[in-house]
Amino acid sequence: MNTLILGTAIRLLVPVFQLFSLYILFRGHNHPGGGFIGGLIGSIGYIFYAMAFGPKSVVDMFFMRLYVEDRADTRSRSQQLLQTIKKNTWQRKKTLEQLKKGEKKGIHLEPMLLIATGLLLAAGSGLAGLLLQQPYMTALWTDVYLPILGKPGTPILFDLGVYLMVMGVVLKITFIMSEE
Amino acid sequence: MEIVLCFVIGILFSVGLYFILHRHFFKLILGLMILGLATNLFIFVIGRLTRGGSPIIGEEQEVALEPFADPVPQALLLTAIVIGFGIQAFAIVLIKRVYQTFGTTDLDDLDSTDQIHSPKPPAP
Amino acid sequence: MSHLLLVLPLLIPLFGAILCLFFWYRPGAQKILSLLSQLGLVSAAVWLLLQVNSEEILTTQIGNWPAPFGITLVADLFGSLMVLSSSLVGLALLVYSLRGLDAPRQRFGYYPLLLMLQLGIGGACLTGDLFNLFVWFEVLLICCFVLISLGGTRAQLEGSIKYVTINILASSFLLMGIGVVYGILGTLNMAELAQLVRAPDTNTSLIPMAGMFFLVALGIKAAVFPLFFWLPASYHTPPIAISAFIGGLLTKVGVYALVRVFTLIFAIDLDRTLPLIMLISGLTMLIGVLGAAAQTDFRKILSFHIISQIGYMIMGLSLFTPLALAGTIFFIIHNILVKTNLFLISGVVAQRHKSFALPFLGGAYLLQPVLALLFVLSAFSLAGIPPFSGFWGKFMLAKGGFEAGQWLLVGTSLGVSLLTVFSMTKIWNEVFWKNKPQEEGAPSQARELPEESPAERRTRRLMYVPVLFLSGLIVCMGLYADPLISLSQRAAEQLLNSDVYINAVMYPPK
Repeated sequence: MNTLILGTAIRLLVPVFQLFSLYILFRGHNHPGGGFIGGLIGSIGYIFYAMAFGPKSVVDMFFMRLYVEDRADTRSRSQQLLQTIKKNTWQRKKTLEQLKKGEKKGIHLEPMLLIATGLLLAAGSGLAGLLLQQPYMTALWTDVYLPILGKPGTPILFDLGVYLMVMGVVLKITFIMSEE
Repeated sequence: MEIVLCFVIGILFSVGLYFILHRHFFKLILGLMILGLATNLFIFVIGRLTRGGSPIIGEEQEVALEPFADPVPQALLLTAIVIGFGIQAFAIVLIKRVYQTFGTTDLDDLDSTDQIHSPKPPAP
Repeated sequence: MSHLLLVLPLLIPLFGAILCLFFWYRPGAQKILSLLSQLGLVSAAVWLLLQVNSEEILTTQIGNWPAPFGITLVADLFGSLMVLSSSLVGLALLVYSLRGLDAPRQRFGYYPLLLMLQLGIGGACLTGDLFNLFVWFEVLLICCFVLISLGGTRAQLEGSIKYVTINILASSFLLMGIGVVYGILGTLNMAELAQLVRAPDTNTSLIPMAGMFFLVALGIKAAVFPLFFWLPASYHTPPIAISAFIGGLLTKVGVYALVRVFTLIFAIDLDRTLPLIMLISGLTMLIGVLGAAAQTDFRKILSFHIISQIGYMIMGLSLFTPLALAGTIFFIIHNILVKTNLFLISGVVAQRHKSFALPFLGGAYLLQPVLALLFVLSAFSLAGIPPFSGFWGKFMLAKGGFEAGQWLLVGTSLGVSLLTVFSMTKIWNEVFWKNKPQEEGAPSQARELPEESPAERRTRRLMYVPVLFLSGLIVCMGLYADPLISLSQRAAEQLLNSDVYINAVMYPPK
C-alpha cells in the first residue's frame, strides 16, 4: 500500500502509540490496563508502519538492525562502545546506507529476541519470591514511592516482560504473514 | 437477554460445524474461528450475566458493591481468546503453506497419509 | 521446600527454552543448553518423586494466593511418576536427535520447542486447577503443531492439517466442559471441586453431563475408539525424532487427565459412565490392533498400536478398583518407555535402509543383530510376555478385571495381546528375518546395501545410545518390578482416597 496520507500520518502517530502503550502498561497496577493490552497498542504503530512502508522499513527504522563497531578498528572497549552508540544514533542515516550497500555488517535484532527477553523478564520476575522461601511468583513490593510509576515491585517486571513478548509475537506474526 | 444469547451461541455452533465439514481450506479456518467464538460466548453466558456492575473496587470501598459481575469467566474468556488468537494465526499460516505446496484448496485431495500402501523409497 | 520442588520441573525447561531462543542462530549452543536442561529436569523429577514418596502430597500456591483463589500446583505420586517418565524419554529423545534429525529442522527451533513441550507436559501433570489444565494442554498442543509441521514436507503438512483441526475442536469441547463445571459449582480448583461434589448439600445432577464434555475432549486427545482417526493419519509423518516423542507421550497425557478428572471430580454417579468407558476401552483395544494388522508401514503399525494400548489404560479406569488403577499407572509408564523405544528402533532401521515400508525392508538381522535383539525385547514387552514390563501391567489389569467380574473385558484384553504378538511378529519377519528384496533387473550383487560412510556410522552409533538406555530401563522395570508396582499401588490409593488430596490443597500445613 503506498498512500501519502497514511504514510505521513503514521510517522507522527507512532510516537503517540508508543507513549500511550507505556501509559497503559504502567496504569495496569491499580486500574484496567497492563502489559498485554499495552503491548498490543504499542505494536499497532509498527503494523501501520509496515502497512505504509513495508515490513523491511520497520526493521531499518526502529533500531532492529544495529551496527556494531568492529573491535579491531578501535583502541579500547569503551571507545568501541562509544563508536557503536554514535553510529547508531546521530550518524544512523549514513550507517544505514552503508549497511544497505553491504559495506558494513550489522546485527539483526529479530522479534524473536524481543520475545526471548520478554519471556526471561516475565519468568525471572517470579524467582525473587522463590529466593525468599515464598511460592513462585509471589509479589514483592518496595517501600519507595516514585512520582509517575508508583511503587515499584516484581509485578511490574512481569508486566514489562509480557509487554515485550506481545510486541515481539505480533511483529513476528506480521512479518511472517507479509512475506510473499 | 440470556435467551437471545443462547440462540446466538447455537447458531454460531451450527455455522461453525457446517464450515468445518466443508471441503474448502478457507472455510475450515473460518469454521474453527466461529466455533472458537461460540465457545467463548458459551463460557461468558454460563458464568451468569450481570449487567452494569463491573467488579472493580472503588477508591473508598473495602469490597465491590453488589451486584457485580463475576470476574472469573471474564478472565477465562480473555485467556481463551489469546490462546485462540495464537492457534488461529498458526492455522492460517499452515493452510497458506499447504496451498502453496499442494496447489489445491480441496481437503479431499489430502488423503495420502490415510492410505495403507507406502510409497516406494527413492533409489539409493 | 515444596515451593521450589514443585516449580523446578517447570522452570528448568522454561528457562532452557528461553536461553535457546537467545541462541536462535547457533544450534550448537542450543544442543548444549537443552542437554543441560534435560539432565536438570531428570534430576528435579527424581528429587520430586523421592520427596512425594516420603511425605505424601506436596502443594504450592503460585503467587502466594490461598487455595481456591490462586493457581495451585499439586504433586501426588501419579503426577510425579508421569513427570519422571516424560523427562527420561525426553532425555533419550534429545540424545537421539543430536544426530538423528536433519540440520535444517534443528536450526528452525527444534530444541526450544522440545523443551516447551516438556514444560507443557510437566504443567499438565502437576496442575491442580481445571482451567490451568486446559492452558497447559494448549501449550503442549501448539508446540506439537509446530513440531509436526516442522520442515514442511508434503506428508507433514497433510498430517498436521488433520491434527490441528481435530485438536482445536477438542480444545473447544474441553473449554465448554470447564465452563459447565464453573457454571454448576462456581470454582475451578480441583480440590475444592472434589470437596463440593462430595458435599451432601450440592446438587450434582448435572455433574455427569459435564463429565461427558471431558470424556469427549480428553478422549480425542487420548485417541480412544471412535475419536482416533487423526492419530494414524498424522503421527507417522514427521521425522522419527519428533514422532517418537509425540507418539510416546502425548496421548498418555490425555489419559492422565482423564484418570485425574474422573477419580477426583466426576467420581460420583459413575454407574452410567463406567460401563460406557468400559465399552470404549474394549473397542479401542480391538480396533487399534485390527487396524495395525492391515498396515505395511513400520511407523503406521506402531501408531495403531498406540491406540490399542490406550484401550488398556482406559480399562483400568473403567474398572475403578485400586488394583486396576495401579495397573493403569504401571501400564502408562511402561508404555511411554516401550513405545518411544520402538519408534526409535524404526528410526535406526530406516537410517540404514532408507525406508519405513515393510515390503522394501529386510535382512536387518544380518546387518544389525544387536538392534534385532533390542527390538525383540521391546516387542515382547509391548505384547506383555513375562518377565518383561508389559506383563506386570497387563497382569494387574487382568487380575483387577477378574476381581470385578468383568470376564468379557479381560478376555478381550488377553485376545488383543495375542494379536499384538502377531503384529510384532509381522514386523520381525518383514524387517529383520526375510532377505532384502531384490530390485527388479538389478544384478545379484546389488543385494547388499551400499557401504555406509564413516559419518553415517558415527551417527548410527550415537543413535544406539538412547535405544540402549530405554531398553535397559524396560528390562529393569520387568525384572525388578516390585518397587514400581508398589509405587503405583500407592499412587492408585491416593487417587481413590481424595480426602488426602483435598486436605493437602485446601488446608496446607503452615
